[in-house]
Amino acid sequence: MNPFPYRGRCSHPANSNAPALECKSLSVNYTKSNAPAIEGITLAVQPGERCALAGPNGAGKSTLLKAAAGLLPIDGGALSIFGHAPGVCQHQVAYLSQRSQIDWNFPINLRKLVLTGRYIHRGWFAKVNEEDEVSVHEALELLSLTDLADRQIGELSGGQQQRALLARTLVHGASLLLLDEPLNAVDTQTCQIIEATLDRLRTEKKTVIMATHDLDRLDNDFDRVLFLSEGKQVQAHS
Amino acid sequence: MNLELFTEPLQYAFMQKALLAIILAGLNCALIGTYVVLRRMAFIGEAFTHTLLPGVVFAYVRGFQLFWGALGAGLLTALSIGWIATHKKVREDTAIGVVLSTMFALGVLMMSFVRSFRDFGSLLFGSLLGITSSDLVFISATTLIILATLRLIHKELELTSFDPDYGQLIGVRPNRLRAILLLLIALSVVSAIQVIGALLTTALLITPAATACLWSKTLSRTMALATSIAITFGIVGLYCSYYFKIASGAAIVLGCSACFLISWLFKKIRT
Repeated sequence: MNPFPYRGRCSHPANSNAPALECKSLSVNYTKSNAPAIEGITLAVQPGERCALAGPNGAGKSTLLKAAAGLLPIDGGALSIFGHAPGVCQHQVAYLSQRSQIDWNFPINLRKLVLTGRYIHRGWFAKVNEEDEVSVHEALELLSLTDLADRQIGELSGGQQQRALLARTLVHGASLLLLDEPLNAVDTQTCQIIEATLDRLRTEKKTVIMATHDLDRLDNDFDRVLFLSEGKQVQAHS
Repeated sequence: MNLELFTEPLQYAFMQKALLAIILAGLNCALIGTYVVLRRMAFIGEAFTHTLLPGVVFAYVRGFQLFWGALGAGLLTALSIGWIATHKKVREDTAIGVVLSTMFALGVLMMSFVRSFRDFGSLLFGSLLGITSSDLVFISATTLIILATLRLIHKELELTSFDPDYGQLIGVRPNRLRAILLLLIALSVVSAIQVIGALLTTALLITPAATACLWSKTLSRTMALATSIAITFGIVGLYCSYYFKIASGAAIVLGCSACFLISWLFKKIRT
Protein backbone atom coordinates (compact mmCIF):
# COMPACT_ATOMS: atom_id res chain seq x y z
CA MET A 1 0.00 0.00 0.00
CA ASN A 2 1.27 3.45 -0.91
CA PRO A 3 1.34 5.48 2.36
CA PHE A 4 1.36 8.85 0.54
CA PRO A 5 -0.70 8.42 -2.63
CA TYR A 6 -1.75 12.07 -2.83
CA ARG A 7 1.45 13.90 -3.59
CA GLY A 8 1.17 15.31 -7.08
CA ARG A 9 3.27 13.02 -9.22
CA CYS A 10 2.71 9.35 -9.95
CA SER A 11 5.08 7.14 -7.96
CA HIS A 12 3.86 3.83 -9.42
CA PRO A 13 3.69 4.07 -13.23
CA ALA A 14 1.64 1.47 -15.06
CA ASN A 15 3.28 -1.85 -15.82
CA SER A 16 3.05 -1.94 -19.63
CA ASN A 17 2.77 -5.75 -19.80
CA ALA A 18 0.00 -6.06 -17.22
CA PRO A 19 -3.76 -6.01 -17.91
CA ALA A 20 -5.53 -2.75 -17.09
CA LEU A 21 -7.61 -4.69 -14.58
CA GLU A 22 -7.24 -8.27 -13.51
CA CYS A 23 -9.17 -10.08 -10.81
CA LYS A 24 -8.98 -13.71 -9.76
CA SER A 25 -11.65 -15.27 -7.51
CA LEU A 26 -12.28 -11.80 -6.09
CA SER A 27 -14.50 -11.40 -3.02
CA VAL A 28 -15.51 -8.11 -1.42
CA ASN A 29 -17.42 -7.82 1.83
CA TYR A 30 -18.84 -4.58 3.24
CA THR A 31 -19.01 -6.00 6.77
CA LYS A 32 -17.47 -9.21 8.03
CA SER A 33 -20.79 -10.45 9.42
CA ASN A 34 -22.69 -10.36 6.13
CA ALA A 35 -22.43 -12.46 2.98
CA PRO A 36 -19.90 -11.10 0.44
CA ALA A 37 -21.24 -8.35 -1.85
CA ILE A 38 -19.31 -10.00 -4.69
CA GLU A 39 -17.70 -13.43 -4.71
CA GLY A 40 -15.53 -15.48 -7.05
CA ILE A 41 -15.16 -12.85 -9.78
CA THR A 42 -12.49 -13.59 -12.39
CA LEU A 43 -11.86 -11.08 -15.14
CA ALA A 44 -9.02 -9.59 -17.19
CA VAL A 45 -9.45 -6.35 -19.14
CA GLN A 46 -6.59 -5.41 -21.48
CA PRO A 47 -5.44 -1.80 -22.02
CA GLY A 48 -7.61 -0.01 -24.57
CA GLU A 49 -10.58 -2.34 -24.17
CA ARG A 50 -14.12 -1.33 -23.26
CA CYS A 51 -15.77 -3.70 -20.79
CA ALA A 52 -19.38 -3.71 -19.60
CA LEU A 53 -20.55 -4.88 -16.20
CA ALA A 54 -24.17 -5.92 -16.70
CA GLY A 55 -26.80 -7.13 -14.27
CA PRO A 56 -29.81 -6.09 -12.20
CA ASN A 57 -29.71 -3.73 -9.22
CA GLY A 58 -27.78 -5.28 -6.35
CA ALA A 59 -25.80 -7.56 -8.65
CA GLY A 60 -22.47 -6.16 -7.44
CA LYS A 61 -21.51 -3.90 -10.36
CA SER A 62 -20.85 -0.82 -8.22
CA THR A 63 -19.04 -2.92 -5.60
CA LEU A 64 -16.63 -4.27 -8.22
CA LEU A 65 -15.95 -0.76 -9.53
CA LYS A 66 -15.40 0.62 -6.01
CA ALA A 67 -13.01 -2.23 -5.19
CA ALA A 68 -11.08 -1.52 -8.39
CA ALA A 69 -10.95 2.17 -7.44
CA GLY A 70 -9.47 1.24 -4.06
CA LEU A 71 -12.52 2.45 -2.15
CA LEU A 72 -13.38 -0.97 -0.68
CA PRO A 73 -11.02 -3.50 0.89
CA ILE A 74 -10.66 -6.88 -0.77
CA ASP A 75 -11.88 -9.81 1.29
CA GLY A 76 -10.50 -12.67 -0.81
CA GLY A 77 -8.83 -13.46 -4.12
CA ALA A 78 -6.69 -10.97 -6.02
CA LEU A 79 -7.23 -7.69 -7.84
CA SER A 80 -4.62 -5.66 -9.70
CA ILE A 81 -4.67 -2.42 -11.69
CA PHE A 82 -1.88 -2.18 -14.29
CA GLY A 83 0.02 -4.71 -12.19
CA HIS A 84 -0.38 -2.85 -8.89
CA ALA A 85 -2.74 -3.34 -5.94
CA PRO A 86 -5.85 -1.10 -6.01
CA GLY A 87 -5.26 2.30 -4.41
CA VAL A 88 -1.54 2.33 -5.24
CA CYS A 89 -1.76 3.68 -8.77
CA GLN A 90 -4.19 6.58 -8.11
CA HIS A 91 -3.11 8.60 -11.14
CA GLN A 92 -4.00 5.75 -13.50
CA VAL A 93 -7.57 5.22 -12.28
CA ALA A 94 -10.50 7.64 -12.59
CA TYR A 95 -13.84 6.74 -11.06
CA LEU A 96 -17.21 8.21 -11.96
CA SER A 97 -19.53 7.57 -9.03
CA GLN A 98 -23.31 7.63 -9.08
CA ARG A 99 -24.78 11.11 -8.68
CA SER A 100 -26.32 10.31 -5.30
CA GLN A 101 -22.85 10.07 -3.71
CA ILE A 102 -22.32 13.84 -3.96
CA ASP A 103 -23.73 16.75 -1.93
CA TRP A 104 -25.15 18.81 -4.80
CA ASN A 105 -26.21 21.64 -2.47
CA PHE A 106 -22.59 22.45 -1.66
CA PRO A 107 -21.68 26.00 -2.72
CA ILE A 108 -19.29 25.40 -5.61
CA ASN A 109 -19.78 25.96 -9.30
CA LEU A 110 -19.45 23.50 -12.15
CA ARG A 111 -15.96 24.69 -13.16
CA LYS A 112 -14.67 24.09 -9.61
CA LEU A 113 -16.25 20.64 -9.48
CA VAL A 114 -14.46 19.64 -12.69
CA LEU A 115 -11.23 21.24 -11.46
CA THR A 116 -11.16 18.82 -8.50
CA GLY A 117 -10.30 16.15 -11.08
CA ARG A 118 -6.86 17.80 -11.40
CA TYR A 119 -6.06 17.72 -7.67
CA ILE A 120 -4.41 14.31 -8.03
CA HIS A 121 -1.72 16.00 -10.17
CA ARG A 122 -1.04 18.72 -7.61
CA GLY A 123 -1.15 17.03 -4.20
CA TRP A 124 -0.94 18.68 -0.78
CA PHE A 125 -0.33 22.41 -0.44
CA ALA A 126 -0.10 23.10 -4.20
CA LYS A 127 -2.50 25.31 -6.11
CA VAL A 128 -4.02 24.40 -9.46
CA ASN A 129 -2.21 26.01 -12.39
CA GLU A 130 -2.86 27.19 -15.94
CA GLU A 131 -2.40 23.69 -17.35
CA ASP A 132 -5.22 22.50 -15.10
CA GLU A 133 -7.47 25.38 -16.20
CA VAL A 134 -6.84 24.55 -19.86
CA SER A 135 -7.64 20.89 -19.23
CA VAL A 136 -10.92 21.84 -17.52
CA HIS A 137 -11.81 24.23 -20.35
CA GLU A 138 -11.33 21.49 -22.95
CA ALA A 139 -13.42 18.98 -20.97
CA LEU A 140 -16.23 21.50 -20.54
CA GLU A 141 -16.25 22.16 -24.27
CA LEU A 142 -16.21 18.47 -25.12
CA LEU A 143 -19.26 17.85 -22.94
CA SER A 144 -21.12 21.03 -24.01
CA LEU A 145 -20.94 22.53 -20.52
CA THR A 146 -18.98 25.75 -21.18
CA ASP A 147 -22.03 28.01 -20.85
CA LEU A 148 -22.88 26.46 -17.47
CA ALA A 149 -19.37 26.70 -16.00
CA ASP A 150 -20.22 29.35 -13.40
CA ARG A 151 -23.51 27.80 -12.33
CA GLN A 152 -23.82 26.32 -8.82
CA ILE A 153 -23.83 22.51 -9.13
CA GLY A 154 -27.24 22.17 -7.47
CA GLU A 155 -28.78 24.30 -10.22
CA LEU A 156 -27.81 21.83 -12.94
CA SER A 157 -30.22 19.26 -14.34
CA GLY A 158 -29.57 15.55 -13.73
CA GLY A 159 -28.08 15.13 -17.20
CA GLN A 160 -25.83 18.18 -16.77
CA GLN A 161 -24.64 16.86 -13.42
CA GLN A 162 -23.80 13.54 -15.04
CA ARG A 163 -21.81 15.30 -17.76
CA ALA A 164 -20.04 17.37 -15.11
CA LEU A 165 -18.93 14.21 -13.33
CA LEU A 166 -17.73 12.73 -16.63
CA ALA A 167 -15.80 15.95 -17.34
CA ARG A 168 -14.06 15.58 -13.97
CA THR A 169 -13.28 11.95 -14.77
CA LEU A 170 -11.70 13.05 -18.07
CA VAL A 171 -9.47 15.77 -16.56
CA HIS A 172 -8.15 13.21 -14.07
CA GLY A 173 -6.16 12.03 -17.11
CA ALA A 174 -6.23 8.35 -16.14
CA SER A 175 -5.62 5.37 -18.43
CA LEU A 176 -8.40 3.35 -16.78
CA LEU A 177 -11.87 4.87 -16.37
CA LEU A 178 -14.39 3.20 -14.06
CA LEU A 179 -17.87 4.50 -14.89
CA ASP A 180 -20.81 3.64 -12.64
CA GLU A 181 -23.92 3.81 -14.82
CA PRO A 182 -23.15 7.12 -16.59
CA LEU A 183 -26.18 6.70 -18.87
CA ASN A 184 -28.66 6.00 -16.09
CA ALA A 185 -31.68 8.39 -16.02
CA VAL A 186 -30.23 11.00 -18.39
CA ASP A 187 -31.89 12.92 -21.24
CA THR A 188 -31.34 12.10 -24.91
CA GLN A 189 -28.92 14.98 -25.50
CA THR A 190 -26.74 13.92 -22.55
CA CYS A 191 -26.87 10.31 -23.72
CA GLN A 192 -25.58 11.31 -27.18
CA ILE A 193 -22.82 13.53 -25.76
CA ILE A 194 -21.63 10.84 -23.36
CA GLU A 195 -21.64 8.18 -26.09
CA ALA A 196 -19.60 10.46 -28.37
CA THR A 197 -17.15 11.02 -25.50
CA LEU A 198 -16.85 7.27 -24.93
CA ASP A 199 -16.06 6.80 -28.65
CA ARG A 200 -13.36 9.44 -28.35
CA LEU A 201 -11.87 7.61 -25.38
CA ARG A 202 -11.69 4.47 -27.52
CA THR A 203 -9.65 6.32 -30.17
CA GLU A 204 -7.34 7.55 -27.39
CA LYS A 205 -6.76 3.89 -26.34
CA LYS A 206 -8.21 4.49 -22.88
CA THR A 207 -9.58 1.49 -21.00
CA VAL A 208 -13.20 1.86 -19.92
CA ILE A 209 -15.07 -0.40 -17.50
CA MET A 210 -18.69 0.63 -17.27
CA ALA A 211 -21.66 -0.59 -15.24
CA THR A 212 -24.80 -0.55 -17.36
CA HIS A 213 -28.40 -1.67 -17.47
CA ASP A 214 -28.69 -1.27 -21.23
CA LEU A 215 -28.44 -4.85 -22.55
CA ASP A 216 -29.39 -3.96 -26.13
CA ARG A 217 -26.07 -2.38 -27.03
CA LEU A 218 -23.63 -4.67 -25.28
CA ASP A 219 -22.49 -6.48 -28.44
CA ASN A 220 -21.87 -3.34 -30.50
CA ASP A 221 -20.43 -0.98 -27.89
CA PHE A 222 -18.19 -3.22 -25.77
CA ASP A 223 -15.24 -5.55 -26.34
CA ARG A 224 -15.98 -7.59 -23.24
CA VAL A 225 -19.04 -8.16 -21.03
CA LEU A 226 -19.26 -9.50 -17.49
CA PHE A 227 -22.74 -10.50 -16.33
CA LEU A 228 -23.32 -10.41 -12.59
CA SER A 229 -26.22 -11.58 -10.46
CA GLU A 230 -26.46 -11.46 -6.67
CA GLY A 231 -22.73 -10.80 -6.39
CA LYS A 232 -21.68 -13.74 -8.52
CA GLN A 233 -20.30 -13.98 -12.03
CA VAL A 234 -22.99 -15.44 -14.27
CA GLN A 235 -21.22 -15.22 -17.58
CA ALA A 236 -18.25 -13.46 -19.21
CA HIS A 237 -17.62 -13.18 -22.92
CA SER A 238 -15.67 -11.14 -25.46
CA MET B 1 -23.72 59.92 13.16
CA ASN B 2 -21.53 60.94 16.06
CA LEU B 3 -18.14 59.23 15.64
CA GLU B 4 -17.49 59.66 19.35
CA LEU B 5 -20.07 56.99 20.06
CA PHE B 6 -17.62 54.59 18.47
CA THR B 7 -14.31 56.05 19.62
CA GLU B 8 -15.16 57.08 23.17
CA PRO B 9 -15.30 53.54 24.65
CA LEU B 10 -11.99 52.70 22.98
CA GLN B 11 -10.10 54.98 25.34
CA TYR B 12 -10.36 52.14 27.86
CA ALA B 13 -7.88 49.26 27.57
CA PHE B 14 -10.53 46.66 28.43
CA MET B 15 -12.66 47.84 25.47
CA GLN B 16 -9.68 47.70 23.11
CA LYS B 17 -8.99 44.13 24.20
CA ALA B 18 -12.67 43.21 23.95
CA LEU B 19 -12.89 44.66 20.42
CA LEU B 20 -9.84 42.73 19.26
CA ALA B 21 -11.09 39.54 20.95
CA ILE B 22 -14.53 39.64 19.32
CA ILE B 23 -13.02 40.32 15.89
CA LEU B 24 -10.63 37.38 16.16
CA ALA B 25 -13.13 35.01 17.80
CA GLY B 26 -15.73 35.98 15.17
CA LEU B 27 -13.22 35.23 12.43
CA ASN B 28 -12.31 31.86 13.96
CA CYS B 29 -15.89 30.75 14.48
CA ALA B 30 -17.19 31.99 11.11
CA LEU B 31 -14.44 30.31 9.06
CA ILE B 32 -14.70 26.95 10.83
CA GLY B 33 -18.47 27.32 11.27
CA THR B 34 -18.89 27.43 7.49
CA TYR B 35 -17.48 23.91 7.27
CA VAL B 36 -19.53 22.85 10.31
CA VAL B 37 -22.77 23.99 8.64
CA LEU B 38 -21.96 22.65 5.18
CA ARG B 39 -20.88 19.27 6.55
CA ARG B 40 -24.00 19.12 8.75
CA MET B 41 -21.89 18.93 11.93
CA ALA B 42 -23.90 21.46 13.98
CA PHE B 43 -24.64 18.86 16.65
CA ILE B 44 -20.91 18.27 17.08
CA GLY B 45 -20.41 22.02 17.50
CA GLU B 46 -23.06 22.01 20.22
CA ALA B 47 -21.41 19.01 21.88
CA PHE B 48 -18.09 20.83 22.17
CA THR B 49 -19.61 23.69 24.11
CA HIS B 50 -20.89 21.24 26.76
CA THR B 51 -17.97 18.85 26.92
CA LEU B 52 -15.58 21.66 27.88
CA LEU B 53 -17.13 21.94 31.35
CA PRO B 54 -15.25 19.13 33.17
CA GLY B 55 -11.96 20.42 31.73
CA VAL B 56 -12.70 23.91 33.02
CA VAL B 57 -13.62 22.66 36.49
CA PHE B 58 -10.55 20.40 36.58
CA ALA B 59 -8.33 23.37 35.70
CA TYR B 60 -9.97 25.43 38.45
CA VAL B 61 -9.45 22.71 41.05
CA ARG B 62 -5.82 22.16 40.03
CA GLY B 63 -5.18 25.89 39.98
CA PHE B 64 -4.12 26.54 36.40
CA GLN B 65 -5.67 28.77 33.77
CA LEU B 66 -9.22 27.67 32.89
CA PHE B 67 -8.52 28.00 29.18
CA TRP B 68 -6.07 25.12 29.26
CA GLY B 69 -8.65 22.91 30.91
CA ALA B 70 -11.18 23.84 28.25
CA LEU B 71 -8.62 23.20 25.53
CA GLY B 72 -7.74 19.79 26.97
CA ALA B 73 -11.40 18.77 27.19
CA GLY B 74 -12.02 20.11 23.66
CA LEU B 75 -9.16 18.13 22.19
CA LEU B 76 -10.27 15.02 24.08
CA THR B 77 -13.77 15.46 22.64
CA ALA B 78 -12.36 15.93 19.12
CA LEU B 79 -10.30 12.76 19.38
CA SER B 80 -13.23 10.79 20.87
CA ILE B 81 -15.64 11.85 18.13
CA GLY B 82 -13.03 11.15 15.45
CA TRP B 83 -12.46 7.69 16.90
CA ILE B 84 -16.19 6.97 17.06
CA ALA B 85 -16.61 8.09 13.44
CA THR B 86 -13.93 5.61 12.36
CA HIS B 87 -15.26 2.67 14.39
CA LYS B 88 -18.92 2.64 13.39
CA LYS B 89 -20.32 0.39 16.08
CA VAL B 90 -23.01 2.93 16.99
CA ARG B 91 -24.46 5.82 15.00
CA GLU B 92 -22.31 8.90 15.29
CA ASP B 93 -25.07 11.25 16.49
CA THR B 94 -26.01 8.75 19.20
CA ALA B 95 -22.42 8.51 20.38
CA ILE B 96 -22.03 12.30 20.40
CA GLY B 97 -25.24 12.59 22.47
CA VAL B 98 -23.86 10.14 25.01
CA VAL B 99 -20.43 11.86 25.16
CA LEU B 100 -22.05 15.31 25.44
CA SER B 101 -24.39 14.46 28.31
CA THR B 102 -21.80 12.36 30.15
CA MET B 103 -19.11 15.05 30.02
CA PHE B 104 -21.55 17.81 30.98
CA ALA B 105 -22.91 15.76 33.90
CA LEU B 106 -19.33 15.08 34.98
CA GLY B 107 -18.65 18.81 34.89
CA VAL B 108 -21.74 19.60 36.97
CA LEU B 109 -20.78 16.91 39.49
CA MET B 110 -17.27 18.34 39.77
CA MET B 111 -18.76 21.83 40.24
CA SER B 112 -20.90 20.55 43.11
CA PHE B 113 -17.72 19.36 44.85
CA VAL B 114 -16.15 22.76 44.35
CA ARG B 115 -19.35 24.26 45.80
CA SER B 116 -19.17 27.41 43.71
CA PHE B 117 -21.02 28.13 40.50
CA ARG B 118 -20.03 31.81 40.46
CA ASP B 119 -16.41 31.16 39.54
CA PHE B 120 -17.42 29.53 36.30
CA GLY B 121 -19.97 32.16 35.34
CA SER B 122 -17.62 33.97 32.96
CA LEU B 123 -16.91 30.76 31.06
CA LEU B 124 -20.52 29.63 30.91
CA PHE B 125 -21.97 33.01 29.92
CA GLY B 126 -18.94 34.94 28.66
CA SER B 127 -17.15 38.00 29.93
CA LEU B 128 -16.11 40.02 26.92
CA LEU B 129 -15.25 43.06 29.00
CA GLY B 130 -13.00 40.93 31.20
CA ILE B 131 -10.67 39.73 28.43
CA THR B 132 -7.06 39.62 29.60
CA SER B 133 -3.84 39.92 27.62
CA SER B 134 -3.18 36.19 27.97
CA ASP B 135 -6.69 35.49 26.63
CA LEU B 136 -5.83 37.65 23.62
CA VAL B 137 -2.59 35.77 23.03
CA PHE B 138 -4.48 32.45 23.00
CA ILE B 139 -7.23 33.76 20.69
CA SER B 140 -4.63 35.26 18.30
CA ALA B 141 -2.65 32.01 18.25
CA THR B 142 -5.85 30.12 17.42
CA THR B 143 -6.57 32.53 14.56
CA LEU B 144 -3.08 31.96 13.14
CA ILE B 145 -3.44 28.18 13.37
CA ILE B 146 -6.87 28.25 11.67
CA LEU B 147 -5.77 30.61 8.88
CA ALA B 148 -2.58 28.63 8.23
CA THR B 149 -4.41 25.28 8.17
CA LEU B 150 -7.14 26.54 5.85
CA ARG B 151 -4.51 28.11 3.60
CA LEU B 152 -2.67 24.80 3.35
CA ILE B 153 -5.51 22.27 2.98
CA HIS B 154 -8.51 24.32 1.87
CA LYS B 155 -8.93 22.53 -1.45
CA GLU B 156 -8.84 19.10 0.17
CA LEU B 157 -11.27 20.11 2.95
CA GLU B 158 -13.62 21.53 0.34
CA LEU B 159 -13.46 18.38 -1.82
CA THR B 160 -14.05 15.95 1.04
CA SER B 161 -16.96 18.08 2.26
CA PHE B 162 -19.08 17.41 -0.83
CA ASP B 163 -17.53 14.27 -2.32
CA PRO B 164 -15.58 12.19 0.23
CA ASP B 165 -15.50 9.18 -2.11
CA TYR B 166 -13.53 11.08 -4.73
CA GLY B 167 -11.22 12.38 -2.01
CA GLN B 168 -10.65 8.80 -0.88
CA LEU B 169 -9.99 7.74 -4.48
CA ILE B 170 -7.16 10.23 -4.95
CA GLY B 171 -5.68 9.40 -1.54
CA VAL B 172 -6.77 12.43 0.49
CA ARG B 173 -8.10 10.29 3.40
CA PRO B 174 -11.37 12.08 4.38
CA ASN B 175 -11.35 10.66 7.93
CA ARG B 176 -8.02 12.30 8.71
CA LEU B 177 -9.23 15.62 7.34
CA ARG B 178 -12.34 15.29 9.45
CA ALA B 179 -10.16 14.74 12.50
CA ILE B 180 -8.20 17.90 11.67
CA LEU B 181 -11.47 19.79 11.28
CA LEU B 182 -12.65 18.53 14.68
CA LEU B 183 -9.46 19.86 16.26
CA LEU B 184 -10.03 23.22 14.57
CA ILE B 185 -13.62 23.25 15.87
CA ALA B 186 -12.30 22.56 19.38
CA LEU B 187 -9.81 25.43 19.09
CA SER B 188 -12.34 27.90 17.71
CA VAL B 189 -14.90 27.01 20.41
CA VAL B 190 -12.31 27.40 23.18
CA SER B 191 -11.20 30.73 21.69
CA ALA B 192 -14.78 32.00 21.85
CA ILE B 193 -15.91 30.85 25.28
CA GLN B 194 -14.36 33.79 27.13
CA VAL B 195 -15.94 36.11 24.55
CA ILE B 196 -19.55 34.94 24.55
CA GLY B 197 -19.59 31.97 26.92
CA ALA B 198 -19.57 28.20 26.48
CA LEU B 199 -23.35 27.96 26.33
CA LEU B 200 -23.67 30.51 23.52
CA THR B 201 -20.58 29.69 21.46
CA THR B 202 -22.54 27.36 19.19
CA ALA B 203 -24.50 30.37 18.00
CA LEU B 204 -21.35 32.20 16.88
CA LEU B 205 -20.18 29.00 15.19
CA ILE B 206 -23.42 28.18 13.39
CA THR B 207 -25.62 31.25 12.89
CA PRO B 208 -23.32 33.54 10.80
CA ALA B 209 -22.37 30.59 8.57
CA ALA B 210 -25.99 29.48 8.22
CA THR B 211 -26.97 33.03 7.24
CA ALA B 212 -24.14 33.27 4.70
CA CYS B 213 -25.17 29.94 3.15
CA LEU B 214 -28.55 31.50 2.31
CA TRP B 215 -26.85 34.17 0.17
CA SER B 216 -23.66 32.73 -1.31
CA LYS B 217 -23.03 30.21 -4.04
CA THR B 218 -19.30 29.70 -3.56
CA LEU B 219 -17.42 28.56 -0.49
CA SER B 220 -15.03 31.51 -0.37
CA ARG B 221 -17.89 34.00 -0.54
CA THR B 222 -19.80 32.07 2.12
CA MET B 223 -16.77 32.26 4.42
CA ALA B 224 -16.26 35.97 3.71
CA LEU B 225 -19.92 36.79 4.38
CA ALA B 226 -20.08 34.64 7.52
CA THR B 227 -16.98 36.41 8.83
CA SER B 228 -18.48 39.83 8.08
CA ILE B 229 -21.70 38.93 9.89
CA ALA B 230 -19.93 37.49 12.94
CA ILE B 231 -17.57 40.48 13.27
CA THR B 232 -20.27 43.11 12.59
CA PHE B 233 -22.71 41.74 15.15
CA GLY B 234 -19.84 41.04 17.53
CA ILE B 235 -18.90 44.72 17.48
CA VAL B 236 -22.55 45.81 17.66
CA GLY B 237 -23.10 43.49 20.65
CA LEU B 238 -19.99 44.81 22.36
CA TYR B 239 -21.13 48.43 22.05
CA CYS B 240 -24.67 47.55 23.13
CA SER B 241 -23.17 45.85 26.17
CA TYR B 242 -21.09 48.97 26.94
CA TYR B 243 -23.84 51.54 26.50
CA PHE B 244 -26.90 49.61 27.75
CA LYS B 245 -25.20 47.49 30.44
CA ILE B 246 -26.48 44.20 28.99
CA ALA B 247 -24.78 40.81 28.65
CA SER B 248 -22.41 41.03 25.66
CA GLY B 249 -22.66 37.36 24.68
CA ALA B 250 -26.45 37.44 24.55
CA ALA B 251 -26.42 40.74 22.57
CA ILE B 252 -24.04 39.27 19.98
CA VAL B 253 -26.01 36.05 19.58
CA LEU B 254 -29.37 37.83 19.32
CA GLY B 255 -27.95 40.15 16.64
CA CYS B 256 -26.67 37.19 14.61
CA SER B 257 -30.00 35.39 15.08
CA ALA B 258 -31.98 38.45 13.91
CA CYS B 259 -29.78 38.64 10.82
CA PHE B 260 -30.46 34.95 10.09
CA LEU B 261 -34.20 35.34 10.62
CA ILE B 262 -34.45 38.37 8.30
CA SER B 263 -32.36 36.61 5.63
CA TRP B 264 -34.44 33.45 5.88
CA LEU B 265 -37.74 35.35 5.66
CA PHE B 266 -36.47 37.41 2.71
CA LYS B 267 -35.40 34.28 0.84
CA LYS B 268 -38.67 32.52 1.65
CA ILE B 269 -40.79 35.43 0.40
CA ARG B 270 -38.71 35.80 -2.76
CA THR B 271 -39.01 32.14 -3.65
